Amino acid sequence: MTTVAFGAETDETMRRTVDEGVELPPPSRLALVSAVAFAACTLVLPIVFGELYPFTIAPMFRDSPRLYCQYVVFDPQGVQLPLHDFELQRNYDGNPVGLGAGVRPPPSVDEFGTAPDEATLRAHVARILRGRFPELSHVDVEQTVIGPVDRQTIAVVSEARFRVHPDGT
Amino acid sequence: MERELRHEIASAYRPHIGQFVVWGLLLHAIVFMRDRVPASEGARNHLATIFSFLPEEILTSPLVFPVFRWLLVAAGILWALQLLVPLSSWVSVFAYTLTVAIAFENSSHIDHARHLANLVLFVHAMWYHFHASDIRMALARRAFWLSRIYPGWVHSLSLFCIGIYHSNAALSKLVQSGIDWPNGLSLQLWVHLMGREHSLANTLILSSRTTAALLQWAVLVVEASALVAVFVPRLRIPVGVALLGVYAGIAESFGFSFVLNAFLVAAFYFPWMGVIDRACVSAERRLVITFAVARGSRLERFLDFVVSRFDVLGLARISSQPERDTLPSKASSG
Repeated sequence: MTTVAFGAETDETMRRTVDEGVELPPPSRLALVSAVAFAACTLVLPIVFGELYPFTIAPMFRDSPRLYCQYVVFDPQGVQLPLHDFELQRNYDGNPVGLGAGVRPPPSVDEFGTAPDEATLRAHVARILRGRFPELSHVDVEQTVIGPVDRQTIAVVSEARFRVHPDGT
Repeated sequence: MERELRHEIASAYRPHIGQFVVWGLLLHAIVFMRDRVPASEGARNHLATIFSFLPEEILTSPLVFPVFRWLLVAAGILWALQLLVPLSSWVSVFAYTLTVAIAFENSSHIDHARHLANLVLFVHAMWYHFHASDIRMALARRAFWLSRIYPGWVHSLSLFCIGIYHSNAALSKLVQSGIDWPNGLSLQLWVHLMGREHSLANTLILSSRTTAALLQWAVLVVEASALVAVFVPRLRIPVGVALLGVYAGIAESFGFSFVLNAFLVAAFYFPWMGVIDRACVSAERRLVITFAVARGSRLERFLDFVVSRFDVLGLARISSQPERDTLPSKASSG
């Protein structure tokens, strides 16, 4: 027969703690040395290697950008094309691009915090056109720059749309 | 202060915080670990994780990840049930580290949601390693939860890991961007790019660079203070509250979930030990549940297993008696 009973306890509470509880011995030398070694790894490895999972310098949002760009690319028919195809995609997600990752992100002209000028973009897109899309006579590239517009707010600072042919014109 | 820290390291506490942290981290690891390896293509970085030295065939093998993913589940359940310790502890930590590492090794983008959990889980595997016999003895006596079996050095080392993680974040910002980092403009740009829509905080940040700069200064000071608070115990509660505020702000503004980090801050920056002591004593004075069961029965063994591992307030008593003598027991009165 099995029974369950509910009640309260007074003095036995402390008696149990003293009588039945296991008393932990002082930490062994090996335990303390291991703890210090682990603390040292946590302290030193991120400084030496930057990111070495599970050790980290917690680098998210460590940069200080002053503007950023958005791109759109259209084919001659006005259809939007994938930015990855033109190496204009944004790899940035708040972390330093590629740091701590085993695979390097695909190359991109877009670097968060910078705004390449039109000549740089033309040369880059023309090179892609010649190499990957010889069937396209041209593409239209839109570059939108977002940054400070006054002392308190940010907004679109500039918008540019230009046509790029394979020869760079 | 030094004496206070030495006392903390040499002390021993009831195991609640340590065991709750182990359970919480293992539960999260088992439930929320990704199912498959990301399929990023591209040139490989030389150094990303402590397992980067392994051959590429292993790091990119489609078999290794699921094997260790399931090993983590199996070992994690065993550790959560305090079975086969410390072996299950180390296998859990190894499988956890390798599983996340392989995901990172095959990814072009990483997050920082599991780094801290991994380190703290390692520290708690050290607890189970160096005190395995004490833990087994306490379980055998059904006295795990009332024993002062959680070493102060484990608590202090976990706290140090959490402190250094956050202070590294502050240091990274200062080293990379200098004292100009909290200028408000960068936060406005991040919110503009990645911020949640319909967030009241984001509306405020985008409308006022002064507010954004103040918030960035606050984040920098709080992150830098995280390590200071490890060595100045009276700062822990305010810094802990502030760190939780930072995580709440990040979730509100960006939708990024650092729930594990917030859980660990809540577990280690607040003086739970005294609260737990009082709660256990108080609960035990108010209520004791006595199970009268037949000696040697399956039920007794089952209750013994459950009570010794999950009776966190120490309320249950098992009164085992010869089967023919088992009668309803009287509740002891206070």
